[in-house]
Amino acid sequence: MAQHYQSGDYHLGLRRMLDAALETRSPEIFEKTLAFCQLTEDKNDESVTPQALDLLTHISRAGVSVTGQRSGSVVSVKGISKQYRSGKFKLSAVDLDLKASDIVGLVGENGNGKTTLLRIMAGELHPDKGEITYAFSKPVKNNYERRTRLAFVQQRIPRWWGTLTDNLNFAARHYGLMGRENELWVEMIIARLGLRQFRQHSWNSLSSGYRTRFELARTLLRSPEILLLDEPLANLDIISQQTILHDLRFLAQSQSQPMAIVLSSQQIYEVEKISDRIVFLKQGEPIYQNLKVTDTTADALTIFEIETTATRDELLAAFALLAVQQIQFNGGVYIASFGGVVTASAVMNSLAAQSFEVSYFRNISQSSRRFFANA
Amino acid sequence: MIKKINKFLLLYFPLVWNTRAFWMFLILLGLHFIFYCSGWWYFDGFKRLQGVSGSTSVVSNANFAYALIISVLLIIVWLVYYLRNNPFKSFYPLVRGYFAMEFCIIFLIMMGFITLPETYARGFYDAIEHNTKEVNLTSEVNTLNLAFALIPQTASDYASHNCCDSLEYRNSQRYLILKAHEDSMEGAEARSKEGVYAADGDGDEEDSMRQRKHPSYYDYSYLNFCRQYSGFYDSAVLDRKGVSAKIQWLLTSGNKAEVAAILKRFEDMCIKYRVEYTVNIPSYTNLAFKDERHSATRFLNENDETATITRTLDFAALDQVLTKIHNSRHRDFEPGLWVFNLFFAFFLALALYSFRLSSTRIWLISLVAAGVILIIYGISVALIRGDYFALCFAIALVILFYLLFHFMRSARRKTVAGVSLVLFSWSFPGLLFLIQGLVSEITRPKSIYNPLTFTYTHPASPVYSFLEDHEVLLYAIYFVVNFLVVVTVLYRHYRSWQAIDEE
Repeated sequence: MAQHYQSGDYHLGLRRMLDAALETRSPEIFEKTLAFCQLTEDKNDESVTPQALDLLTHISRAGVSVTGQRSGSVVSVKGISKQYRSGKFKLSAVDLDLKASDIVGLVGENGNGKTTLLRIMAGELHPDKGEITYAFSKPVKNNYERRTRLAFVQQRIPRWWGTLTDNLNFAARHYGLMGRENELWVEMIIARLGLRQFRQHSWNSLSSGYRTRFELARTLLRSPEILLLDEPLANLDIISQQTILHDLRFLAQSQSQPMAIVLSSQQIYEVEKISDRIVFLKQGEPIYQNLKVTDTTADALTIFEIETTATRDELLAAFALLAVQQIQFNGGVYIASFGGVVTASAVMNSLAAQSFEVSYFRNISQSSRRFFANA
Repeated sequence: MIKKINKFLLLYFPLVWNTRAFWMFLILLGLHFIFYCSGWWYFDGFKRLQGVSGSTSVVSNANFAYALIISVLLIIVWLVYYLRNNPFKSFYPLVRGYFAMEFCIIFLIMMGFITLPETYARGFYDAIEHNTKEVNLTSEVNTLNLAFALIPQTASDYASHNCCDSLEYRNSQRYLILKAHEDSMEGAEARSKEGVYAADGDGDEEDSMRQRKHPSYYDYSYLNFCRQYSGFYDSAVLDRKGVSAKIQWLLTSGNKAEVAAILKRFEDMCIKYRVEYTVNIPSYTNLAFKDERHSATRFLNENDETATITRTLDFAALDQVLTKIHNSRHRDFEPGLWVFNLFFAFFLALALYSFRLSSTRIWLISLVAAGVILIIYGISVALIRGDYFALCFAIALVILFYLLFHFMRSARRKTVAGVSLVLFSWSFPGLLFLIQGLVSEITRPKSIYNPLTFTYTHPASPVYSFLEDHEVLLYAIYFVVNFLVVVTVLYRHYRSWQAIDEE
């Protein structure tokens, strides 16, 4: 964090500092951090570095309040399947096993069962077959209590009334935070999610992206052990997407309150950056389950995504020496698959040799993007 | 200040903040104060005591309408705020007693609105009591009753068959038996054989005999007067016979001064209570002693004065005034009214509570379903007439709603389960009433006709008598039971429904 400030990444530094401060769970640190946030509201530049370093010293002295460290599974999904009454769609035998701090990305095209799976995990839908085992830190007495422990952020954020802060205070109060402690936690979470300037805003005056942030803030105040997010990036701009995803990674790995996260998204590249595993659903079938992002393809192909003005035949000719196996075109980009290991420089050299205009190039051999070759 | 209070409530008492209970109670307190003051100021002199309702709960329709309009408007505004955030539907963990407290808050708010007319009436009657401390009510009631006799209204009041002795005889058991017997006989011959009446006698012969035995048998005489215009349950107030006896004494003893004094006091009362009159009241002193028979008919027939009197001297207004003064001094606790108020508030609170714990869609479907079920119920009861059927059908419906909820919940049919639960919530408070009705029907004693005494007798039925005699107490017990069911059991069903994972 000190490095962030010293190298001029003040905003990143502030976010990490807020993460660290939250880990302490110390009201005193919260007060100091919020005072610092107030200071940075006017200017967040090198002039605040001394105060930042001073605060970091306090935070490191306070230490981390480790209360939620767990080793076993938090949720285990075995052979879950679901068919709707209309019979048009069926989710087939999904298996998942999540430990605290795990992040699983659910990917797949629209209407392939991502939301169905999340709703089943959230207790909204009953599966036809299979079972879900939740291992909460404290046993639950009934279904309602179980659902209080699960946080499910839907793609369509439910409407709320009043000010943003009041709603967060209200949520926090129900989770046992009272008085000044409640205020401090809410202020910290607000600062953490970049909502300080919207504290007194209502639903109507927030953009959909900030509504998503609000929902995340509310979810964090609930300190869930399992966080289920349905298309959380759908309403966010590209910068916000990256910020939120990195925040999720940090939140999952929290020392004081680690949580297992399952998120669905269409933003494949972004999701796989932070996910430990990927579940790829196609027509309700789990094509790949518990696939680690670093796994190579089963048939050991090297796959590139290319956007160019060249035609398929021209590309085939250009890649003839590289043993190209297949070139698919979805109208926007080409997906070129090569047998064995082919380096990116070799492919780019072949394109350069033909003087093709290339506007986009990416190696997707280790990306779940390769499953969407036609998308 | 308001923000600070709201923040405090939000951070420490989220239920109070969320329900806006603090502000609503404050508003209700203010409203009750305003209604009390309005009631107090409504009494702007004795004139106001005429022409308004004699009820100690609702003074006037206008007051009731104001309370209704204000209540509806404020409840709508309150609901706009109250229904905003629902921690139950957001699956927040709720502390023990949260649901009970929420229901109590809704109930108290409803109760606060429902009792507004009574607060108004209390202000009004407190003002009456405060302003009529000096009034000797017993004396004024007696004056009204005596003056009413001395200022004739209708000729029939002075008919000989309306004298106290005649009335007493006609109301006697022997007279009633004879009349019943006479009604049952067909033809004069049959009556002659029975020997009850002479063959040439008619139905009024007994009356005529009574009249002839009475010293004052003249028709339309003051001496026949036997009415009590205004009377309260106070031993010092002259009753019907007491009024008659006093009138007879005044007239037979020729106590003109006393008559004049009574009429003077009466006139003073009319002036004090602003009862409009155009009759020359003192002239009645002379009219009362005009002949030896103390006939009231003379002046009744003179220049059609009856019509004039009834138009211009409003005894009823004076009676209303005295009744209100009496009511202001004897405002007893009315358990029946309070049980009604409690149940009314309870049902309103329950309707809102079910809305809060279900969803708008489920609640509206339930509303429509309730309407349809009521129509079916009404048609069924009309086709298959019988109280037993109606009661049993209604009880069966309540049980059906409950069973349907459990079955559908197990089957994970959330919508049907929700509608069943809401319908059960609305109907179960009536279950105890229905059971009471059924027990009452079963134990109701059948009348037995006795041909010897020509009377009906009712065999003893302890259960039926108990239900009849302790109706209000039983309703109060039902209220407590229903309230306890809502705050301790019902919410659990809603909680389990809310957490259903749908099929």
